[in-house]
Amino acid sequence: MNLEIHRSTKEENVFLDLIGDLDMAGAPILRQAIAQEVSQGNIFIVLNFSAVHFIDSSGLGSIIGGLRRVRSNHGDLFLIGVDVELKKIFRLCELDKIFNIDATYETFSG
Amino acid sequence: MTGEIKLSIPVRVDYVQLVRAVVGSLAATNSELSTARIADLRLVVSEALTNAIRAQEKNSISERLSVLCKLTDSAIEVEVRDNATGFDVDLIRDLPPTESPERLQHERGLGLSIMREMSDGLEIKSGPDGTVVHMTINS
Repeated sequence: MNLEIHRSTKEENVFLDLIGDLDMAGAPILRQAIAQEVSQGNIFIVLNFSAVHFIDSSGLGSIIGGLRRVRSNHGDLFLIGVDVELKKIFRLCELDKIFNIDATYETFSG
Repeated sequence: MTGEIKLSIPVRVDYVQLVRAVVGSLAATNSELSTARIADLRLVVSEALTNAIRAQEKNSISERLSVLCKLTDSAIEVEVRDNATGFDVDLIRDLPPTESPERLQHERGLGLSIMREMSDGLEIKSGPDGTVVHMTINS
């Protein structure tokens, strides 16, 4: 399935639950969603990967772009629910040095 | 089990997922290929096809892409062929180090290194008539 995004908020954080594949088709959808949040002043964004089981370099690029966008507005971007297969790809691309890929929903709901 | 499929793909991003599914399904008929290796296969195919679509879109070429997939007892081979104007692999620059703030300025450039790392064999032939990427995933 193409990427769907479900939105919720908790305190200052906006949670974007990603559902589907984050690839060449999904990346622009995520990019647009992050841009929309930032334009509305929501600069602390949590991407929930629990329902994402495929990511490629296009998807990784959209996350890097999202991080750049929120940080340039003094915000931050967090990832939760990254599964084992996806972690392998983050590590391969050394993006585990930029993102904490071991965070869970509980990290932000405490 | 052995087999071969050939796909002719319109230059559209929504076909990338379909090709991943088809190639992954063919690979799954070989019990020697593990789930992890099939995941690697789906990833490298996605990268190759993404590059092919981008190359043709950049040059406004609507001719279909072709994907040839051969399954043997010990491996699966995939060939992705586009009709764009080609590129020089040697001219692709390395990304800045991950620790560098400059790294966030680069959203692209990971595809080739992913294909190199995840496949057991990668051959790229590129010229003015297009690019052929041949990848092998062993069981």
